[in-house]
Amino acid sequence: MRKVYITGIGQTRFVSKSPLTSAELCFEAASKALSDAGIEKDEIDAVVFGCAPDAFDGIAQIGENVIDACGGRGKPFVRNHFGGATGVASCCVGWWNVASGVFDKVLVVAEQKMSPPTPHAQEIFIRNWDEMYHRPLLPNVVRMASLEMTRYMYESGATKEALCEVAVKNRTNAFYNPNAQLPKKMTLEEALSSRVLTWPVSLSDISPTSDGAVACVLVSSDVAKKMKCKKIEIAGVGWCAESVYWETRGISTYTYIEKSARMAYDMAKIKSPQKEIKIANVYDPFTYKECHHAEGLLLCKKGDGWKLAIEGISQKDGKLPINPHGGLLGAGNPIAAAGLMQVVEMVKQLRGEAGEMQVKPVPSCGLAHAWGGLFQFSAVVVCRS
Amino acid sequence: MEKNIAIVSSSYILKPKEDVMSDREMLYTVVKDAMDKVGLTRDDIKSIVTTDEDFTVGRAIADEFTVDFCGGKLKPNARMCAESMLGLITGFMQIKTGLFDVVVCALYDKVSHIEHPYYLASLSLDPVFERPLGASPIYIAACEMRRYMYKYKVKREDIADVIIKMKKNALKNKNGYFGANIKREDVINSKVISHPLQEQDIAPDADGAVCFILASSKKAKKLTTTPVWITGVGYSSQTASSSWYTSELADAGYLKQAATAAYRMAGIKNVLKDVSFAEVDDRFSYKLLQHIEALGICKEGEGAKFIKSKKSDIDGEFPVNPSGGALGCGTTLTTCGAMRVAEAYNQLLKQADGYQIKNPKRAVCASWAGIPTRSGAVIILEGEIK
Repeated sequence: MRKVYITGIGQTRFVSKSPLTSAELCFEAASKALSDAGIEKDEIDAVVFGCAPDAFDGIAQIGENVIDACGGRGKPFVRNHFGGATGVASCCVGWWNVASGVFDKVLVVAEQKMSPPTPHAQEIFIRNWDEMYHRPLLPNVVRMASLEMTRYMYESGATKEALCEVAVKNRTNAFYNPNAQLPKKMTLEEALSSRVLTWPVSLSDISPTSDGAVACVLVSSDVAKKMKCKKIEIAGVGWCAESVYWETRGISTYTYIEKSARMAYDMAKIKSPQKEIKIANVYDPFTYKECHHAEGLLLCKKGDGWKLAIEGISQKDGKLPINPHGGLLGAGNPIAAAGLMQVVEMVKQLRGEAGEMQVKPVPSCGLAHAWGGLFQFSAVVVCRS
Repeated sequence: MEKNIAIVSSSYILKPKEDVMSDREMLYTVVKDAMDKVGLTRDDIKSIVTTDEDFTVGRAIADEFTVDFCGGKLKPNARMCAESMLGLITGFMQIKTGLFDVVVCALYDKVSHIEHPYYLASLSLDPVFERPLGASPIYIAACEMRRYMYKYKVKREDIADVIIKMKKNALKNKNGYFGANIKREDVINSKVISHPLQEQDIAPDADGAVCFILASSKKAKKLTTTPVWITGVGYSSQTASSSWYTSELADAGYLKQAATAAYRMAGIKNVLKDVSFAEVDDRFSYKLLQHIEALGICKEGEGAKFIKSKKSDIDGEFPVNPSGGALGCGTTLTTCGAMRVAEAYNQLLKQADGYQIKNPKRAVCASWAGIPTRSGAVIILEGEIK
């Protein structure tokens, strides 16, 4: 199989309401990634763009709107949309663009603006549910998360304190992240006493809505050899989808997450992820999700995910650091861009360029994960330096 | 040119707006039918690719609902928000990586549930520079048509003759719901939508779903004795939809760019000699002409002359849209391109009852992502059926 390398990364700051347009955000991230890779936009063969619901940005066919800003003018340009999994999935799309041999140099850009909808982005989410069976129940993401969180806590024995520790870890990690939206040296008391939205989900359990963009450059091994910048190999990719109908699949299932991880691990020839993965950027739109996903990604035993933060395992100086850059809880969650941030922050770690967020010793193998849809899409990328 | 990836099976549904199936029903029907044709079960399918747009489907994450109906539960499902040919090209690339040997491409779109299609299309306009004008985006097609007619001195009557031919072709096609024997006056006297674009210049809306099952060459040979090879692919975006007016509107520059890449991959040097026929996006009458010119089937500005000539007849030297195209069968928004590929596939398998071309070997299929985009794709198909 043709090898693919990440040779350039870039991102905007993640903020609650950016005055920049979707295109301007893309331009900033794309320019930074190209500059980091040391190549010009004219050298790029194709552009892959990822953006989750167009309705957030308020532009239908949003991919078409940002083509010029992504350096895609006159080039093959394709947009993918896997809901919340888009950011990491975009990296998978970029991967097959190069691994297929059709292109040698691909720019991947992921962007989202969640500030345009008024009064709040939640209004868009209602349109995710089946119009006949589920919408009349007036679900929203927080209510669905409360169902899954309750079930997860019941099945695993997770305590609220242990889950709040994830918020403390990630918000504090974000304090050292110059691009983060919610850096804060949070205490456990602050997390525990935060306002309940839909029990047991409280404000400290949720990542914010955000505006931001991230980009990276993917190249074939022949092109990578000639480049002076640091190259990180994409060792494995995986993605998987579960049914949208929760009635058919159980509330706390994570089979789809496990399948996406196994697909990536098989490709990367990883037999023991708990030992071989040295840094994992696990998708954490909610505190309990980091724990639940860690189990699905086989980074710990089933039922033990909630112990990782409180026992120090997933701390920056722990055995398996998870989200040392703050994750979505700390750095922000512009849906599609957040997923690609998980990839790019992992690449920074493998390069040894993560500054105060750096895991030591510099990790040689990392994982990035994103998740989305109605709790049904999972995408994984495993990299090696 | 390599014969590595083949379409081993295809199934499609095309329904005029009034005859309604839900998108999920359409998807299930075509995917199941395509799989049954080659005896595939869900376990055989390694990857699913879908194309759709949230705004036309009416859901914030439309592909949440395609998983179950494509046999995609607990499988890798990929979704492109792009014109449907990009779905096929994605499947093509996935197999080329060596990761999968069978990919289901399930491509669909519906118009019957949209109350105000042009209002919906206006949401694709740039919110800062263009949407505040408050006009229905059909003016973009009108601008392109006007520019085309001006630059190449093409007359209203010539374009009318093109529409007449497409609708006549569609009369022979069982899916040609909008086939008709119309006259020049029917076109010239039709309602003006946005001058010079008139009602007859616009392909009617329809609902459609197409499933293609792609396989690697090794797998294809086990599944069917009649694989249709995808030997060339190309796609390009000339500009952003927010800067459509910076392109030369008289020409489909995006398709020329896409064709260059596809022809190079397929080893095509002279399209009229190396290819047997074309199925091309014609959701607007003038677009058909721009598209065949961009593909090099005729010189720039001579599209109407070519379509009017016997050369482009079903039994001519180089048939164009023997199916009747979208003008004759209906346009299914993002799935218009996939319908053209489905028709070309049938032709190559010699299954186009009533409108079969003699001895087709290679097809060029072309698509466009619709207004306000300047994005298009080209796929070259090659069949071996004796």
